[in-house]
Amino acid sequence: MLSTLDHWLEDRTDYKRFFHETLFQRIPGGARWRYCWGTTLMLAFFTQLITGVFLWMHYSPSTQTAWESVYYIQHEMTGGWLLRGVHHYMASAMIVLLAIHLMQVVIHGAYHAPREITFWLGLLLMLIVLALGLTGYLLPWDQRGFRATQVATGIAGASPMIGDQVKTLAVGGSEYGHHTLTRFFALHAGVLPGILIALLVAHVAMFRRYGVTAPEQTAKSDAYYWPDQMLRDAVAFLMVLVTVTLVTIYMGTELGPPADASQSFNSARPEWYFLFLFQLLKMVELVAPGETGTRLGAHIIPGAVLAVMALMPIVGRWKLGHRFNIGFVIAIFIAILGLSAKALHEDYNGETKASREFLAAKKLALAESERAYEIAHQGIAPSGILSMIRTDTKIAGFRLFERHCATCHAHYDTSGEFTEPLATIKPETWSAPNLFGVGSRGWNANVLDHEQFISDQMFGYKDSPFVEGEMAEWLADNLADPDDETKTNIANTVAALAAMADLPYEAKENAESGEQIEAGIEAINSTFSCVDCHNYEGQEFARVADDDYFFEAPDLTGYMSRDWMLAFIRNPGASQFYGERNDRMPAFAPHDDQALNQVTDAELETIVDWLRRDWSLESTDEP
Amino acid sequence: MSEPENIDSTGPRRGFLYHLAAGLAAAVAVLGPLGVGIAAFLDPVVRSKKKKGDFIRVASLDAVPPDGKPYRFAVITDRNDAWTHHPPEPIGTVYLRRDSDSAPPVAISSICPHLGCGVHWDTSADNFLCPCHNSEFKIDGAIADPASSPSPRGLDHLAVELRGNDIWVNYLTFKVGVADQIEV
Repeated sequence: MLSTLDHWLEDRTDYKRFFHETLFQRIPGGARWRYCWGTTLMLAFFTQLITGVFLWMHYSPSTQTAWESVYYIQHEMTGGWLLRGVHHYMASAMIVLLAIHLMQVVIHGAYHAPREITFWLGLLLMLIVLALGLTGYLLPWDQRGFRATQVATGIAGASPMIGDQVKTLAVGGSEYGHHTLTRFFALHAGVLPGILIALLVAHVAMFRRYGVTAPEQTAKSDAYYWPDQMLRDAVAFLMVLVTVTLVTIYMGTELGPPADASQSFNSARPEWYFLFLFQLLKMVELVAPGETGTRLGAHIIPGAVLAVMALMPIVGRWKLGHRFNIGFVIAIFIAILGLSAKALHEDYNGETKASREFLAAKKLALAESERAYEIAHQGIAPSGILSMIRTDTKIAGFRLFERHCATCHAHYDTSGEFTEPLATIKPETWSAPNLFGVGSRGWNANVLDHEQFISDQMFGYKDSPFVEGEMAEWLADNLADPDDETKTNIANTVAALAAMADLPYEAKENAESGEQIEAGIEAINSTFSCVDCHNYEGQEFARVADDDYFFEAPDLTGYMSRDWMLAFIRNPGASQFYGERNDRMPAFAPHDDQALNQVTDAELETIVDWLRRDWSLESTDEP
Repeated sequence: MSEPENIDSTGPRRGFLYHLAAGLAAAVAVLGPLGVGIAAFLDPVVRSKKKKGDFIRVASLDAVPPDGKPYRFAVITDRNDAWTHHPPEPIGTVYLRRDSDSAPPVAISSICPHLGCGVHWDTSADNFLCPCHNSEFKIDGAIADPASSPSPRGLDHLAVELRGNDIWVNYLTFKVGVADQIEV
């Protein structure tokens, strides 16, 4: 029965001959490990086809869905992280395998006649693989790919003659947008793989026509591909696959913060296998500045190297030429390694200013992407993740503080315990208090401690008028050397002030210290008599009638509560805050008409909520 | 596949025109659909460009301290991206600075003319820095060190209009990587 079917099929398709030709190809000198690189490379490409199709089933190319769908693949879908990881790292593996394959071909002279066309097809395949890497980097639509690809299209656009048109066609317009993604995706998943398969078929057909390039002297007898060579090929590829999988498991696959044209990204770098081009450009421009350098570093030198490689089969006809080719390909390989190492060293040495800034930017980018995942995990609005990030307390608050406040204020934990990058801003110098934990127990304790109060972390910043002020004087006179009773009173006052601030991250302590808070209010009113200078719940009205003195110290009613902080930042020079004694802090929103203010009401609220670290996503109304 | 045995080679001879017609017909059959695709693909270069460079309100004059230092502001406007109309949102940033209360404000684009990354004002170096290829620019946007500058030109200045107490900026982008300032 089976054999009848077999005969019928064989009769109509001649399939056995096909398998026979494939498996029983003659290998001169028998199976060898060194013959496995080409097949391994091809199997790596098949992996990309397969994983790519499955990624395709879940990817959505538009500016509101690209990052979002990749996030979903990476963080929500069962096995999505593995799928994307294998696709991502196998792309890197392909580059490594390509380099090995190419070096081997040149060193063993496998480009010699009659294999020139096989070689040229291989070079074209290499360019297609690099183009696949370039187009694939953009698709997640994160800041990394977005910024790096903008540089790449900028380089294309700067090329003479048709540069502008090529760039416009690739980008799908003058600005990056939906059509950049749809076009890059069509290139990445359709056009380039299509061309690659066509070239690969020709490359393999030519290879099969002429067979492997065997060493000239070999004592071993010929053998068939099946089973010895096939086993070696399979084992070699499986080792690649295992490596890729392990790297995926242990390193994870990065998804940066979502692309945002209005937000600069200070750690933008190309994929590691393009770092040598990046470094080459930087170095060439040091000696040939401006347009000349860009031309030379990005177009002419890489183009010339490719041209020399394309001419290898012709140059290699002479014995000396072949030696030149070997020398050239080894020199290029070493140059690429050297340039890549230098690029990495310049970024990661941690000593130069540029490196420190790069590392800080990278850390910040990681924090931003992790925050973006948190937000995305709650469900993404139809307008996309970006609209949510722009109003997110943690990210937007950080950016607003950096823009409006960080020219004077720092915001970092001096104890070094709290290391959240989105809450850490440490400029080289500052000229106002470090606002980390403003209104918290720690802050209040510093306010009531003379030494802390006049330190550069608090009111003892450079040229501060408060060092000589009445508060500092009062602290020195009354609280500098506290006895046990005073210590208790200080602790109570600290708790009372913290209860007014009502910070979300101290909610538990506040709820547990009812008696202490009451005692603290008593201290404010009578023991310490803070109300001699500060207003508290209207207490001061009864005591002080001198208008010059009145309201010249910040109101303690609801000290550092959300409303207090909003009103303070609006106008710190208002009479209930610093009045005439305000140092240099500008009024950020003194006008009723928002358009006249430096910050909008919404921005003001974001800054205050950020200072209060009120950024838990569970408590918001987001879906 | 075996060689065909009985091909009629004794029939009427086909002329040159016949061969040409067959070749052309096949070429059109294959390339026709490609032409249809390419026509649409060329849309971005063929389509007549819409008017560029609207003046956009960026900040009130009070928001730019008259100390000569550059301050960064978001450029907020609505825009179209293919089928999506985005309501007003930040599309980029500009640096504004003015030397004194009476001096007119100056607007400097934050896009590096080298290859399009975003520059930032470095307070410790008193320079604009680009984190991608280390281009540096002076406070007025000029190239800091022409002998070793990746950027082929200084930062692009944008036209500014003062309307009442508001600073309006003509937000344009320019071609990167070339010495001449060419509008995109």
